[in-house]
Amino acid sequence: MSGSDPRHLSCEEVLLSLQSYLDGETGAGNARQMVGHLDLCPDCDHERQIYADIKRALMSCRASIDPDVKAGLLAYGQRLARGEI
Amino acid sequence: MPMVLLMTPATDTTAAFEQYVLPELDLLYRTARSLTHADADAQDLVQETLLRAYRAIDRFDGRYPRAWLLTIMRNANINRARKRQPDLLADPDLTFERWAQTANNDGPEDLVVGATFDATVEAAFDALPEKFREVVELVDLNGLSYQEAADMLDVPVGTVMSRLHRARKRIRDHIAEVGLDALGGDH
Repeated sequence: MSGSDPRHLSCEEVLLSLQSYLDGETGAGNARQMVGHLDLCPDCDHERQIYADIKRALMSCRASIDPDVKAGLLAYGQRLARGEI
Repeated sequence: MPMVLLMTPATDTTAAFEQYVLPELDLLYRTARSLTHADADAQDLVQETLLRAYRAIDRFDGRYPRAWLLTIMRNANINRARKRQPDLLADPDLTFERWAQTANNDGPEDLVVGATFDATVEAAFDALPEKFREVVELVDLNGLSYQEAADMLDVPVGTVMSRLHRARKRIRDHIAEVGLDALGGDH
């Protein structure tokens, strides 16, 4: 895709902002421009899909808290809240 | 009645602590786990954070409790680190390169066979240099914003962005090395 139109982003610009866009760390205006480009550019959209999959896979690594550990910390917090510690 | 005068602030403190602090236990533990890399140390750090938060809750204005708690945890962790001998870590870049070299020696087919996309991502994540892995943990695993991660690590937000993006690029490159990038999202 061409980046000659100032309202449109070049592929280079899209790839530079792609991760921030997926993290929700770009402004609304930039996000709209990203969507506009990605809708029309299969190569950049392929990259978006790969990075979205990587992010999803990483998020699924999120360790769940052992219920006993959480219960222990909650009990500690509640004792603090009651002024018992 | 002195009893009432004593009970009122305690009740307010209790209510504020239960309202602002206790709902964030999961976030606090996950973040502590990322910072300490050990369950026992993470529990200690969360307890220290809870204690400091309780002592400071009277001065907390109720805005941005997450940011407030993460700042307390960061400071508690800095104190904790100062009390300890710094760990002698192997050069993380060399660690990653060694892993990448081994992976290449195995051949792409060997790596792909029996491996899912998610497992490949997780293996590449595990092999990241420490400084890269910690930002990925804070943002992707723990759900912190760039600014929250920057505050936690006491680095500029641009540093978080740079490390995070380079970390994911390494993972993405490994995905390409083993031929999983052609799958798009269908796996």
